[in-house]
Amino acid sequence: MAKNKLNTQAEELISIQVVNSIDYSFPTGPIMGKWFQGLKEKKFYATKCPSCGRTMTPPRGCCALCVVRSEEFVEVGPKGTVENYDIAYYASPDPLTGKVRSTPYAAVFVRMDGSDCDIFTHGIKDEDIPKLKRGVRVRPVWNEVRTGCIEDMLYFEIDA
Amino acid sequence: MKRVAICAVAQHEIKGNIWYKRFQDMLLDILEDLQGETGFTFGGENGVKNVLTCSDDFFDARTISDNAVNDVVGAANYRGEQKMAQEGLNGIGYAMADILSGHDDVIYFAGHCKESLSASRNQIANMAYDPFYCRCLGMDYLNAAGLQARAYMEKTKITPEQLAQVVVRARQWASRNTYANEKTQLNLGDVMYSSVLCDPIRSLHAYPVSDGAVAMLLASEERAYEFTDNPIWITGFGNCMDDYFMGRRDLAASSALKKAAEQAYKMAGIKQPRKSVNLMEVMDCYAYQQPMWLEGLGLCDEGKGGDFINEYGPAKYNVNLSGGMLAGRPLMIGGLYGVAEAVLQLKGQANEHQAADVNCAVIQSTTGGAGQFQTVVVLER
Amino acid sequence: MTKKKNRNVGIVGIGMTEISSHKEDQNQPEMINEAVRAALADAGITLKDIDCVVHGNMELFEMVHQPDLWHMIGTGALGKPEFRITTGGTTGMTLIAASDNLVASGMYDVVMAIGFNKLQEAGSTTGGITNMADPLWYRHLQTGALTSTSANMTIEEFGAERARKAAMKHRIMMDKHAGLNERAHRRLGLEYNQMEDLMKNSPPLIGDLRLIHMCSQSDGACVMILASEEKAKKISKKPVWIRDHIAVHREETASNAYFPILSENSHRAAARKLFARNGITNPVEYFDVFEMYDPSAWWGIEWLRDFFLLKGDEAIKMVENGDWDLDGKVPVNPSGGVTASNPISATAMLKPAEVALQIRGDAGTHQLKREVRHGLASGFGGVMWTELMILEKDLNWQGV
Ligand SMILES: [Zn+2]
Repeated sequence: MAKNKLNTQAEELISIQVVNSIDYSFPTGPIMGKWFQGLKEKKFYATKCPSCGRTMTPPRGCCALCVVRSEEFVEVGPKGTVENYDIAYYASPDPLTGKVRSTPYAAVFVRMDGSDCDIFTHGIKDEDIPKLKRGVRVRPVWNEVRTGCIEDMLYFEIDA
Repeated sequence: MKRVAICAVAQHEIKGNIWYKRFQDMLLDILEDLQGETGFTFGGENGVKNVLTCSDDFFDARTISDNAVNDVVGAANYRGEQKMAQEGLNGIGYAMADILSGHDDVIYFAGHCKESLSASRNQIANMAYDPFYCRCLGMDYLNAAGLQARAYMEKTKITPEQLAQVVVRARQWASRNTYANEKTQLNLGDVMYSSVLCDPIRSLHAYPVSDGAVAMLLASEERAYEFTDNPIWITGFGNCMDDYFMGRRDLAASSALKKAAEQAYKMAGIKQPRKSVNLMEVMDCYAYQQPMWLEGLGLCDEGKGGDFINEYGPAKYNVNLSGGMLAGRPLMIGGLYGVAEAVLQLKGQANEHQAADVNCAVIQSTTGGAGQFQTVVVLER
Repeated sequence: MTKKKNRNVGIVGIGMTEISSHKEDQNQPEMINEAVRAALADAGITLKDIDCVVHGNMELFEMVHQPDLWHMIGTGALGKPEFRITTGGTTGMTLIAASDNLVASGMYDVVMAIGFNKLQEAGSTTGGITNMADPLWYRHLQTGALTSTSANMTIEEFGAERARKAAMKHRIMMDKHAGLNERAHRRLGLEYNQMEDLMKNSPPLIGDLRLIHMCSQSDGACVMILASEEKAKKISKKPVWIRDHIAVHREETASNAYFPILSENSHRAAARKLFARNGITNPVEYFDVFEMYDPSAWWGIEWLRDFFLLKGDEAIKMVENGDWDLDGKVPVNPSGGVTASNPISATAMLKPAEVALQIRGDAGTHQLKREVRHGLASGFGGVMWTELMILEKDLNWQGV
């Protein structure tokens, strides 16, 4: 390996700490816009593929399997079945805020009722983490103040 | 040598801020347009199996920005996809190689860029500079262009009137192009006395912030006629990297562009571009760049960009009949829009801005500060 | 349907930096330059002989937009044609696949591909990966590439004890391989008698995915030089031939990748298609080495089944039997794999690089004892994307 020929003292190797910050705004477009409107009303809208018939939530305007426009909306859920889950003991920094999340927290991969070939992911209530297993039934817990964004739904909880 | 065709193109209309659509929505629109025109599909033995995209992680604020579009470019259902992480014109060269290699015979190529997502495209360009020195100095593509504009104007004695003419003409042509962004008509004074952006570049010398998306279908010679009766052939391609440090370059001469053009002309068998080429699409992000890139492409004599404008060179060679960058095109696909325009012109489908007898078109694009990286494509009927 | 290549392409030069977690003594272009020089020296050529440079990484890790512009100081691209092509974790192999196409096309005779990441400069790799999620809904949930969904499924299928033992055995085997490779980043000196201890005491990250199972966060660059058959034979005494490659992508929504809504994942689809069109009916018999992009030990044992088109517990049995070991049926990751070294955008290039070194017989301290004629290399990225490549010692597969 080619080593630095300057025989550099370690203290001359400087690392510059910089936080790079650029402001962005992300449009929802009509499809995601409709979905967020639905969350405000405690509804899960899905788009339905005119070709294979699968429903997708969050809705996609194009079925990735058939590559066709899918703009028909149907309602799915609100309950669903946990198909898989991740329980995090290692807190990665929240990329949106830089804050480190408290652990453990968990994400559940849910097949929403009425949605056969698509999985929806969200968090699960902390107290329910020990009870998580594949096949368990869950229902959404809503934020009291809903503004049309992903935070309108707080998390899932186990549907006893 | 075998040939590679562009069968058809689809353009999304360019706007300053397409706030009402996600880029995924835009890409789906042009995919449908292109499928409608050519009848290509993703399924079956003859369907498209490999997709090329063009986008940028910074402009989209997404690591692996192509991940966000795999669904709407047809890659997601077990097909292949590769992303050109450069200005899209380079994708024409890569898609050509992919087809000539025998690895693929049809390629769907889609690019998008929404400059409006970020608060400042100059902040993104600032991130293209090294974090120790140039970035801290506040370098971005606009500042770099300012330095280059001064060097070029000093060398060529090009006048403010001549630069204004370039912009006025761009807007005139843009008004005839359905897809163009900025169509407000200007007079010379509007340009010459617009506010100073980065001396000597004035605000109307600079391309407007733009959102857009372009798609096209490329195919081998054997398969091109399945999708179109009049394929357009890619006959030349070249690109070239110049020095990062501007102090080591002659800013008023575009050596990288000359090398890129040399490669492309050689491949196309063009010995005298002034005789062979009858349509040009150059990536003029700033007004001075139009004559400067035309010099680099050999369409006018070195240092004579101003005279070229006076002598109606841009009209003679049908330069930027789309309106070009100066009428607004997003940075990462500026050259790709140039290809779309040239294909329509070569096919005789450019409607209100159609030029007569177009046989051979040259498209140029650039990436980086002051034209550091240059790409040239030759298309023929 | 065998793809007919316009002309054959050989690997003639391989260079890589040491892979480590900290490289304060080099900035980005300097790190790249080290690998460029090594590759040129390996090929015995100079920059003058390079017709085209291909560059790739994931920009948001180092936070440099269009980094090839600055990196030209180290890449040697000045005055040359250049492409920048990326695909996420698969980038390194995408670069080789793209370079193969560029040379095979006849447009360029000698192409130099450069893959690198300097993850130390990212702050947090997991944060960088999380930025790939949709900013409107998924970004607040994702934890980088950390997931135990694979572990959950494997445990459900084979029972907790058997699954956990197999994953840990794979991990320790990888570390033993890494121990022989002086370039590997993490060489922990693990022994099989530590299995029970590690299964209990390695810190948990996500569910059954423990720290010991997961790949490293590394800095490093890899450079490979590819040439047309004619040039390759002049440049190198033992060019390694790129026979074929395939890319397979899946849909954007990560939830559909982490729970298989379809019967086949991208790895199995890639292997099935690639082997079929190359007439390879028994991959376990055919290949002498497999370098797999295994970001975690859990994925490692799951994916071996897919890549070799195995069924039921056949792949796990092979883990238990030591069939993937250096002297087993198909040696897997003699380099130590991705759990040992992961400079992400170089990682998927280190796979074909290692296979090529093994075929040449130049892998040094970790050279396989058997003769290596047929090699397989995989890349992983995106939301379950696959790149898969076949490399050959001899130019004799045409007409198969
Ligand atoms: Zn469908």
